[in-house]
Amino acid sequence: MVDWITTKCTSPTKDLPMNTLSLRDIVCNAAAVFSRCYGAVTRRAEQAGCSRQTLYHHARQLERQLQPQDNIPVPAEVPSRTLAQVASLDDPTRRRLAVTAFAMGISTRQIEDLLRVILGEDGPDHTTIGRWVADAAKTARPVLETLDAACIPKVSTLAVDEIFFGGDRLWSASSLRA
Amino acid sequence: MKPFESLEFAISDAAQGIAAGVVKVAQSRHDVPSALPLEHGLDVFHTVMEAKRVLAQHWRRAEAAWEKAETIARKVAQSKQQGIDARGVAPTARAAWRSAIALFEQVEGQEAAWDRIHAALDLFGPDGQLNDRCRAQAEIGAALEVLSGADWSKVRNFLKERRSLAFLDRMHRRLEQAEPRRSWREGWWLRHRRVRPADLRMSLVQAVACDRELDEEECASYGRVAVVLGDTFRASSAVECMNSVLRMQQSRHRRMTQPMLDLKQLYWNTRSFRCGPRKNVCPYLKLGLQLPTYDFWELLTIDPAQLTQQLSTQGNAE
Repeated sequence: MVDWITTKCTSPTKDLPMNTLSLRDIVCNAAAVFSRCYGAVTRRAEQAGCSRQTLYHHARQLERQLQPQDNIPVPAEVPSRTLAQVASLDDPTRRRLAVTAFAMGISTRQIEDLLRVILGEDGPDHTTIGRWVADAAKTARPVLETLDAACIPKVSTLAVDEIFFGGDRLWSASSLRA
Repeated sequence: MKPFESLEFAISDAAQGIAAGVVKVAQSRHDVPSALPLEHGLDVFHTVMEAKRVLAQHWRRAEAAWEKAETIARKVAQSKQQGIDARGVAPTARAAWRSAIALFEQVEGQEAAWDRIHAALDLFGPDGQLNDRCRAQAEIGAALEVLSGADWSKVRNFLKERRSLAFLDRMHRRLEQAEPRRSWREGWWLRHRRVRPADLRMSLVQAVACDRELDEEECASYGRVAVVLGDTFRASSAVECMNSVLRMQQSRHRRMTQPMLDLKQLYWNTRSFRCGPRKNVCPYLKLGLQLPTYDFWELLTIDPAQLTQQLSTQGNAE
């Protein structure tokens, strides 16, 4: 029984018995169901101050917990990623992947999710990705300045748009201009 | 735009601010004898987009009228089937069909007129001849008579702008500079054109021009003409494409700082096009910039001082 209580405490919330009920109350609830006496469930529900449905729920839980281990049906094996199955990427490759994905237009949270698919729990969170992106973005400026200086003399036709001059179009998400 | 000393032609939408800016830069160049003249063209992209928007509206209206007529016709058929006198509904059905057919014919006429205008905005006419301002204006003028409604006013204004056909003037001027001999020039643009003209005679002439062996002088001449034809831009599709990318990303990212924009700019300038006439070429390469690498990540990790040195040794300086 102690093991049952321990198990319940660590299991998801939906399996937890009502906090207001003691273990004794839960057992009594289950007993009323198992007694199969006419009106026992209704009387017990009134006595305990809970619904009849809750009593049946407690009975099912108790039965499941008291069943010998061998008889418990083994749940279908869910393919889960073990450490060996998870792809391994070194830090520079992770950074490259994250920065390239961001430059493409994927948000840091989406990148986090995608990296978790590849790396499992070892994947970086979005704040780390944001830091990597910020570091890479800082290095882009001097490179771009050099490249722009080389590009300008070659431009004979230019397509211009307000977006590059801080035009007065309204933006949905940001006040910054490209 | 001042740093762009080699800039000869600016393309934009009908924004007045940009037009004023281009005029200002062009005027400042007048005072400098060595400076190149600057022209401003109205891009075809926005004209096409507006025309398609109006056409779509008209088509929706026509389709709605057609569906309405079909519904009434079904009622008439049902009445007849059930042996009910349909003489009361039949005239309504006939009127609905007349209206729907008239609307359809009207939209078809508008679409044909727009197709004619769209063809007039191309470098080559449907007959395979090189397009010019006179020819394009005549075609546009004739087609605009059909597009007389108030909703076409924006398209009409765009097309009546002199700047809309500035790319044709510039192309002919540059072609004359590239090859002063008219007969040679015409031979070369026939050779250059990929699409076969609809006119059979022109198609035959083009086939002869394409198959003929060229000597050294002719090769050089053809090269100059081909550069002009390949370098004539009518639309700011590229910038609109970039706009769509940036706007999409601005709505996705919570913050869009200048360093982030720099990062994106570098990425999209090094990304090769997947298809189309620029397939496997990135914008930097298309511009003729000789870089030690076109890989985004490698460029990002390269030392700027080293990059400057490599750029100067690879002949990027004009």
